[in-house]
Amino acid sequence: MMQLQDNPGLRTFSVEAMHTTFTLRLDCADEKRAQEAASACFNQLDAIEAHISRFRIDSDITRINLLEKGKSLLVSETTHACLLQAFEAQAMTAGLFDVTLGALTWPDGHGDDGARASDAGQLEVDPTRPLVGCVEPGRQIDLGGIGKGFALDQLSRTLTSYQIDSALLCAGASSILALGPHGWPITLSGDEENVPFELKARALSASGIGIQGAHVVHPDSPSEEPIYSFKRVWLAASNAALADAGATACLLMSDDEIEAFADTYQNEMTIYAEDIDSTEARRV
Amino acid sequence: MKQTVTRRNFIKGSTAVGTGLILGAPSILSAAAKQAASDEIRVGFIGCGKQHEVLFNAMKNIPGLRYTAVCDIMKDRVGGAASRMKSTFKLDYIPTRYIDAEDMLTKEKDLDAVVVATPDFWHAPHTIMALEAGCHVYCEKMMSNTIDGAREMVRASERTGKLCQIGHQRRSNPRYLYALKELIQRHKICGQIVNANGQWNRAVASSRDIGGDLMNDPKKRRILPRDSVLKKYGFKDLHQFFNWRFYRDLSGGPISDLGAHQIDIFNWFFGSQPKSVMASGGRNYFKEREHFDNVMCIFEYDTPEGGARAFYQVLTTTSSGGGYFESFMGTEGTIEISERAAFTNLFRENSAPSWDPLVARGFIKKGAGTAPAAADSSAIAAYESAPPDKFMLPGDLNKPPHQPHLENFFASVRGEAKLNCDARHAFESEAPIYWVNPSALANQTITFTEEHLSV
Repeated sequence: MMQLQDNPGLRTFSVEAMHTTFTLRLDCADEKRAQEAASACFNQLDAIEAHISRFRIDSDITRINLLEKGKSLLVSETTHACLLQAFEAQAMTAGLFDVTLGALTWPDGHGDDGARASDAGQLEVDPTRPLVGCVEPGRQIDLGGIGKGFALDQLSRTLTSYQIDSALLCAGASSILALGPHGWPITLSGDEENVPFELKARALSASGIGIQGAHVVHPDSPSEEPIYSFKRVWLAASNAALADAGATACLLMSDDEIEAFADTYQNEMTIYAEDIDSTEARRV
Repeated sequence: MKQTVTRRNFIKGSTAVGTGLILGAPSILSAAAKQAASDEIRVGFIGCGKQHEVLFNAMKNIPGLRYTAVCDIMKDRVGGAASRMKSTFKLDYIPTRYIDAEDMLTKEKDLDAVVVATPDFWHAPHTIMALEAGCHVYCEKMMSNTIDGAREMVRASERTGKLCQIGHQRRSNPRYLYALKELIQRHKICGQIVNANGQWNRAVASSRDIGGDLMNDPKKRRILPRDSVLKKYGFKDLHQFFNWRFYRDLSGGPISDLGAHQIDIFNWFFGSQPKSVMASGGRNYFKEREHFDNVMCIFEYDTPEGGARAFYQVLTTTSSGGGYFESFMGTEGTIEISERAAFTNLFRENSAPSWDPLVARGFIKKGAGTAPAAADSSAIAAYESAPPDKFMLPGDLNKPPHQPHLENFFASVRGEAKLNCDARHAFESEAPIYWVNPSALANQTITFTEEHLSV
């Protein structure tokens, strides 16, 4: 297990991005290489945010959200890759994770750009090239449920290119990606009980209703407050984008559904949940 | 009737999708509407690094371009750029790939325009070469690493009669154009502008050397230019190739890399060149670099309204202080403007005439949290404490920042527009910047003469 305290080979770098703090813990004896790798990661993070943030008026996502009927837009490869990843998560969760539904939680139902969110409308993503089309206006994309995990996955590739193979990357406390042969000590923090967890060469995402309140929309009843079965869900998966999306979707599942989901992906995912009427996390 | 799903089918590898996002590429997708082949502008690219990617992303949705040729001394980049173009536009050809710019310009006889995004010390040679080959040129700023190189670019453009747009993209940004022409010049909301202030503060964590991932990996060495290629194109070694911005013979350093965009705005908004510069700089953190890692400077202006001073700082060791912006501070108000919409603000002096008429006519917007107005002017409004009035620009640019400048360039090539930043105007604006480093090195104020600032 990686030692976090008094470990001279572990170098920590932080930056504010995507409305949270990204922290890179790099297991790298070469200080200069670690600094340069972190610098490359932060510049990459800045570029990713510029493309996929709905808070940037000139981002790809804002421009997609403003598309008129029948119009289409060539976006960056970064945005395209993130949308395809979101789409994979949507299929994996049978539609429970939907990047066009988060917008319904925006204040007054409008984005910063003034575009109105709705559960009607349809967008198309060309899988072969970075092209997005608006079939029917209304859908607003908000990558908040997957963007941070997606960014961590991208940063991991940059670190690999700097030959840094052992690291722990965190986007806030809710998206974590562990690289390398060592396990990293993580605590699944519940209301009263904490569960120790070793994260090794995987991603872990936490989603819950405790801090952000009701921020998730159920696709079957988008205008209604979801009935939550869980206060928190933690999901470990092979990549951080799918862990983020999966944890968000699991929060909307019933007991039966999360059991079926965990059963289907038992070899790929590890799921912990804290029931709505409980104070301790249990392995699903 | 609303359906309630009690148990979902979680099928691995399922292609079933929920509502809203569907895959497929039906005929409705029509980005970058097709132009008749005869009307297409045939474009070549010199330099396929990071800035090329920025420009390419900004060009993707501009119709009527034929991506003809790409050139970079790093084969891997050339191949990547050509492949990206082919796949993005589903081209039935692949843009021709070159290592040498002269070779490209000699062989590609039918190029209409060339986009130059090479290191600063190659801007003048590549631009002049392309102009003389009969191409219009869009060249990234700074025009050159030397003022004489910039002068040569102006002369070449005027000699050949070809267009040369310099990449000061804020000059085509609707937010900047609106702030200058509507708010400052027409409505004079700042009153007399006596001061300007600008900065670009970049975190030390984002300012480290680059290229280490490629240089230090023996397996990747084969995709990098060989020593003989580096030397042929003016680089001492791979470190210089990736980090040319740190070397005095290859670039102007941070004041040129980052400051040029913003000092250009000072000169553009004031409508004049400064009469002097006083600068200070140092290598206080990155001690091994040739250029200063932090520079502060003051320009003095004689504007039509009277004297003005502009302070500018570029710091590569801290992000503190609110990112990057330019402020124009007048007797009645201040416009703080940035390429990032989030850093754009308007401030009214308490003693200034009310801006409510401008709000009512839609020239500016009042932000949320604005204090309620009194019912009439004969009474004092009493209400719970509220923040001071917040004002904003009424609209914004929802395109990549470089897109309008590129659109202006290509429209000018078609004869449908006039360049927003041709070589001569760019030179007039950039010329004072070339004297910042000399002022700081000599620790002396430089009072400009015609010799300093003219072509």
